[in-house]
Amino acid sequence: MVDIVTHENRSLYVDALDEMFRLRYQVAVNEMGWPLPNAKDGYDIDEFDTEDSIYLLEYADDGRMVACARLNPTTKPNLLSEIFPNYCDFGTIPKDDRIYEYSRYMVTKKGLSQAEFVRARANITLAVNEFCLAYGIEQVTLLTYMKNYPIAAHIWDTLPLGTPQVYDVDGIQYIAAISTLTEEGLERSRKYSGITHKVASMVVPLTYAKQLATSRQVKRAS
Amino acid sequence: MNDNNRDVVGNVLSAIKVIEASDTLDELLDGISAFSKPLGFTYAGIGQIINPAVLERPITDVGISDFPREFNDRWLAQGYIMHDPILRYALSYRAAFTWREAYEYATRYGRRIFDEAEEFGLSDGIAIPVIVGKYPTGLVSLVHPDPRFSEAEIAHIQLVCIHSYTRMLRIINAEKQDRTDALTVREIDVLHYVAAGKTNWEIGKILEISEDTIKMHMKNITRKLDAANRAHSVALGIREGQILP
Repeated sequence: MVDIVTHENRSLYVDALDEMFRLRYQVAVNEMGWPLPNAKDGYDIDEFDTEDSIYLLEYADDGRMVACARLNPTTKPNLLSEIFPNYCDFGTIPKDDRIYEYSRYMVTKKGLSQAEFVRARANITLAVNEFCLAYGIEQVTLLTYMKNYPIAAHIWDTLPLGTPQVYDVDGIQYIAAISTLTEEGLERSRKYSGITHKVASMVVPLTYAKQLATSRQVKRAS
Repeated sequence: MNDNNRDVVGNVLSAIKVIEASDTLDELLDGISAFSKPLGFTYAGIGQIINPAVLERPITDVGISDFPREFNDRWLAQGYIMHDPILRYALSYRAAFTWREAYEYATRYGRRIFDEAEEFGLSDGIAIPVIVGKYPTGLVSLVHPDPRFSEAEIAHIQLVCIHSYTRMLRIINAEKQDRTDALTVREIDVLHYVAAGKTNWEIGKILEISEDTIKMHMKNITRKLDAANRAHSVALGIREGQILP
């Protein structure tokens, strides 16, 4: 299962988010060699980790966190608008409350077999799709390796935002893109990954129990 | 940059939208042509690079082209798919390349196919391999008498080709065909040793489990991959990306 963390339930995930920032450092710096300017002391936190950020967290059977991802509203500063606008040379840098930026999609290879790694990666993708459909997010923007672009085009309804370009810091070709998330896309992802059950779940704090109880009483009264 | 350099950038997004709106292979081919013809490309071909012997459907269903009919028919009838130098080069060279580059690495028989193509006006072009997660590799081949383009132009042509290929996959619903059950960790171990030519007895010794257990794993592997025998399991395991080549 993939846990969804929003500002509504963040109070339940203080330790988990600490573990996530360390996982991101482990994957980004130690495994992928990303040149992240803000990553230090074993933590990867940047200026786009804000109270608006939504996180997806995935755990292995032994309880260890193995994968994560981040969604940020495009109505606020984000990676594409602030750091990589040059990757959007087809004209628009999306900015809409129904469009979120999908970033820091990371899966550790440490302690996972190839099959488990592939499954963890697929689970995050499926969870993003499930969550966005439930939450009213219609599209996500992403800056991704060019080599991953065909799979995004295959599974989701994806369009490029600009010309694929080599990032001079790591010499790898990246592309900015926007994907529309639909039930059909989710169905394709499920077929492609062979994972047919729902993977995303959200735990809410008990303060919401009061609201639920109130709405039940209102229903009973009417 | 060559002299037929034009505004590729302005057209690429609208071309992709047209391609993504196509519902049939013919519409898809029209969409590609509408983008590629103004750039001086004369023909376009798109398909999966797949062993025709494993296909359960006609080979014409996993690809489409507007190459001259006579050449197309000959290419299919002669089984050139197994020897075509462009296809073979695309398996090892994953970036965009020109036909001429592939010619350099072609076998003598491959060059003969090339020479035949030239008689039909298919002398040079650009080939774009597209990999969607795993095998088989897709290929979009665009014929052009003088395919010299800038790096940025190639990047745009490549984008259009990626969308052409993934759109084709949706149209032919190819994901149905190559979806198999995931192997367990142990089954993956076993299949790697099978691929190395080991017998069940040898694999049992290596993994320190009984030969009977290996036999049981093999039975499950062939069932999951829908394979006919050990050799077929290995071929499918590699093609599906379940074991290392």
